[in-house]
Amino acid sequence: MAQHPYEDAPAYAFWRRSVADMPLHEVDPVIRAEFAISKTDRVATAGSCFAQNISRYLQQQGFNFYVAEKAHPIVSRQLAHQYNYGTFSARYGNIYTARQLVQLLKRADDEFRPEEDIWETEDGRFIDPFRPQIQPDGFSTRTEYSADRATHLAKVRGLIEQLDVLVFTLGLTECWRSRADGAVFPLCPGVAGGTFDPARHEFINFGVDEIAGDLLESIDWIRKRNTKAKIILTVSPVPLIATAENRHVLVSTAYSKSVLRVAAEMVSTARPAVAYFPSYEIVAGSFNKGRYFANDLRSVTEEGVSHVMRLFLKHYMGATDIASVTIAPGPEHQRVSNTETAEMAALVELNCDEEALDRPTIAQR
Amino acid sequence: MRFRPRSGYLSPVKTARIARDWLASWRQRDNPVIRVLAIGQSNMACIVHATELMQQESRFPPGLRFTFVQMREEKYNPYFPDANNRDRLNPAVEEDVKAQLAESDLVVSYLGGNAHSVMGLLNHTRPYDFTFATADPLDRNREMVPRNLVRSSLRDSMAEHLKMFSALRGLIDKPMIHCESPPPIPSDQHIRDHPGVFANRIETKGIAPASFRLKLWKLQSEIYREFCAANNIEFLPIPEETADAEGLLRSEAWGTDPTHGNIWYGEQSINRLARHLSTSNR
Repeated sequence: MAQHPYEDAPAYAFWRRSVADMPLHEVDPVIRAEFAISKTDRVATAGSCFAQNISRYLQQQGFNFYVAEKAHPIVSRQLAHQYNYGTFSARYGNIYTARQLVQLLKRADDEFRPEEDIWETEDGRFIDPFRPQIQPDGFSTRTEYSADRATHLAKVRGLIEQLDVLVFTLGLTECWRSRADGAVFPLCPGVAGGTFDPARHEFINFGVDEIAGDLLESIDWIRKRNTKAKIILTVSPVPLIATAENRHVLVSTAYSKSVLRVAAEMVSTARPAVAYFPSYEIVAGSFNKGRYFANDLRSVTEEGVSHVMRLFLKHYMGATDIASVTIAPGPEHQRVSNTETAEMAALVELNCDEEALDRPTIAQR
Repeated sequence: MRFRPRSGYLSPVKTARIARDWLASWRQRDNPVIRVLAIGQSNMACIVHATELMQQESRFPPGLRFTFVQMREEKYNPYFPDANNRDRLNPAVEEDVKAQLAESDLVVSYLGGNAHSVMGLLNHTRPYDFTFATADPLDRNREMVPRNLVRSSLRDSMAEHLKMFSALRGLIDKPMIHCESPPPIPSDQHIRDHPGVFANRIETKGIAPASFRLKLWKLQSEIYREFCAANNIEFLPIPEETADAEGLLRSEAWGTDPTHGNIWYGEQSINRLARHLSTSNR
């Protein structure tokens, strides 16, 4: 008979048995899936740039990665990728904050029309403030911009109605918003379009209640239109590239990730069929001794991504044949040298528009 | 005097100036006939026929003499036959062009020019539209594809052709002019009456609107202008008199298929070149 509650606890409840003594690739913090995803289920993705990995692996493994907004067939696969078709389920680009998600959903239903909804560049091109790097060279005309945005929002509506599972990756708590109507921008105006104006734009660092509230509102909005929709929340392990708070970026990163993690927990317990998947813990966990981050200590290596996705596919999708997701262990020195090129190639493929924040012009401010 | 091609980007104005300067110095020679090596594909056919007709009727510009290299000839295809070196131009092309160059003062290209038809002569299964210029309206019944995406797709479809063009340019140490291909034929009826290889598909897919086809042709010309500027080739627009007010091909110039110009078009094109060379010499 147990003398205390820990005596009968499973191995995964103990650090030594489930983390410290486990081979790196066998650490599995998932334990069980909240629900199953079948091969035919339409799985949609959205969120920060880390979520792009989920899209990529679902496609590679033959699952039904649902893309509602597809490039026209005249466009080659490579070109479509450059123009961010298929990066996520619709062409919304990176959605870093929960507020951005809920506002996107409302815009799709015409419940919210941001006042500042187009940026014109000096050379006459047009930028969408809510997906400023979706079109590498901007839109050629205002007409083209408006038509593309209308198509995009219609596709978002269709996506919400048709998806079976939405995997949403929370990325940031910090963002910039319009003072006029609270519209939040994925990138600070002036970084990849528009002009920063302190009279019109303000910084906000969302707290846990605001983020949980935005997530709950988003989930309720989705389920109002699609009662069967299941949700998986993850937190991006990618540290902030820059903070607008007057403090060290490491401190801001710890704050943001902690808030996002707590908000995800609050929401996953507050609604049925909402699961939390621990990609943050797998990549940022001390058990891997920082190995899942590249030399910039920020980008996630392919090895780290594959660990996350191996567990995702195993637990949620019952994938047994996941050899291609598994990195075969080899001599340490060999692994480092052999994977570097491949990792870099994969890393540069990810479109993290936050990178724009770290350009010299911003540093000079 | 030998003309030395330059590498790197030169503006169209600069390219034209270089060619003009060269022609001016050349004009001072005793024999004022410009020996033109014309290299082309299907759009050169009307030039060949017009040359024959104009010579028969003694209307051919006296200051010009044409020699033709038809790149569609079997011996020149494929353009890059060496599987182990996909950048090596067909030796038959190299040999013939180099041989003709010795007897030529100027090279005029009638290469390509039909990529826009391949992409947009007929309606796509997912009909689309795009804006070429700011004022262009969009057909709301068609899917809008961003202009730069259409342009890049068209450029992709021309990649192998432009690779050949570029390789050819590398062989040529003479001034070079590229003649813009004829714009689209506006008449659906004419295209249906002369469907050529498109006969079966026209019935099932239908002919794309002329305004759409014109936009694609303009995009194609934009790509050629850029290519020419980067490769030290002067870009010569179509003869103005061959286009209607919209910029589409006038009926007098329609060939006997959906995409090409006829002998009359070829004649205007030759006269356009002659005028251009003569004014270049001023």
